[in-house]
Amino acid sequence: MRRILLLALALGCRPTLARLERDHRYDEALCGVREGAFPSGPVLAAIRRALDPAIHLTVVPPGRAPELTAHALVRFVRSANLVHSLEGCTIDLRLRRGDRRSVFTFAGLPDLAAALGERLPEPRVDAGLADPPTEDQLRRAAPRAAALSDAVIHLWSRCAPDNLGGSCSDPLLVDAPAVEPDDLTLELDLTYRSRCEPDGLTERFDLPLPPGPTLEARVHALFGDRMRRLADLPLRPRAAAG
Amino acid sequence: MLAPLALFAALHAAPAADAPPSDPALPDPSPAPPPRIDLPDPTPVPRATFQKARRRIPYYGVPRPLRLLGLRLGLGLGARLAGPPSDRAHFALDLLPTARLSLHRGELQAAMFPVLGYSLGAGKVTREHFLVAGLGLGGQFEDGALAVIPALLVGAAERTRVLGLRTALVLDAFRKGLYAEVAHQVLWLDAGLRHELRLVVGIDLRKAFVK
Repeated sequence: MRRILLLALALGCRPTLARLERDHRYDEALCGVREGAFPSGPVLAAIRRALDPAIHLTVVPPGRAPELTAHALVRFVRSANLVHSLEGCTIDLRLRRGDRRSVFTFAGLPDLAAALGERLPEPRVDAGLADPPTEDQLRRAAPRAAALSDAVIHLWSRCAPDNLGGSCSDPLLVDAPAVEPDDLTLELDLTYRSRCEPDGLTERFDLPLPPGPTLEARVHALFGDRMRRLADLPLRPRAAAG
Repeated sequence: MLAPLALFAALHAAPAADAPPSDPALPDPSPAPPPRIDLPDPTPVPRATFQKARRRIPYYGVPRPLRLLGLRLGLGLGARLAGPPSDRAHFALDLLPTARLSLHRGELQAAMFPVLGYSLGAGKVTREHFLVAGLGLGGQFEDGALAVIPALLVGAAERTRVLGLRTALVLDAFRKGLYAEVAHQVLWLDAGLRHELRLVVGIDLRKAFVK
């Protein structure tokens, strides 16, 4: 009888965000944001506390990839707790120099070829159907990019499903001028997805890099040799339009 | 006996005449393996797993309580089951403003079903005019509802004032604007209690005319 009474009460009760956080019902909290019951900020902060994401960046010393003159190779490692009520979490990175933004791209053959000025063959169109070039044709057309890709591909490790739980890493490529400006900021976009938010809700942060002579030195000064929890980093919230 | 074997060996030993010559302009696709760029792994952060608390009924992200108004027009049959003599069967008509008020969220929602309207029973002898006032309980989901609705009947039967009680089981496909009702009603007549069974099917006029 008592159980039925509690059930009847629970049916009509609107849970608080604190209650949802205590029960790890973050999917429901995101549904509450969609319904206008909660502002997004506290919900996203609660999800971030639960996921406790950590990141680490390493810039490959330019001497180890001398072919790249205007780009840098970066290994991006991230990890997060496994939160079963979420359907996914992604962390997107950009590098901002003053007002100019550079995106990080996966250091695969196409982007390495573009960075090295090697031209890949276009897909051949036959009777209206695109016939993409074979891997062998791509490697023949961009041998330097193929060799560099082979040298860094082991830096990629598969993420857990939906990037929840565990750790994974990507080799990335980003513009890197010879002389970096003082105003160098890492932009992080954290997107959390749930059944109510299949496209996800995003919170954006700026992470200023400390001063230093090179990108490599500045990234190393910030991250050192250990994963850094976002909670421990000097993140600054950034407006969506920023 | 050995001639075919000799021919086979000769064919395979000979260079293929129409094999394409290798293009010396193209670089060798399989050069020596490039040096791996190894980087030390960063010290990891210990990780935890968070399960959602069980036995919690979700509130957000499930359908909100349905609150719908309707105007039911139903036609059917009434049949005398027991009581003072009357028609064995008679025509039945209902015109009932109704509401369906869910008590909570969910795919299946417990709901109240208030009813207030007019009910007619007419036969060779039977003349029933009732004001119907009731409040039922049931369940509803997105497309329909099932409810038991007890209602008080106040009016006249065969030109005498009468009180009655109707208990109806209503199956309401309100997305389609249709409903069916099976009801038992008891009337306190001067001559005694009359028990009747009513079978009514109808439409929701609000659904039919208001989009």
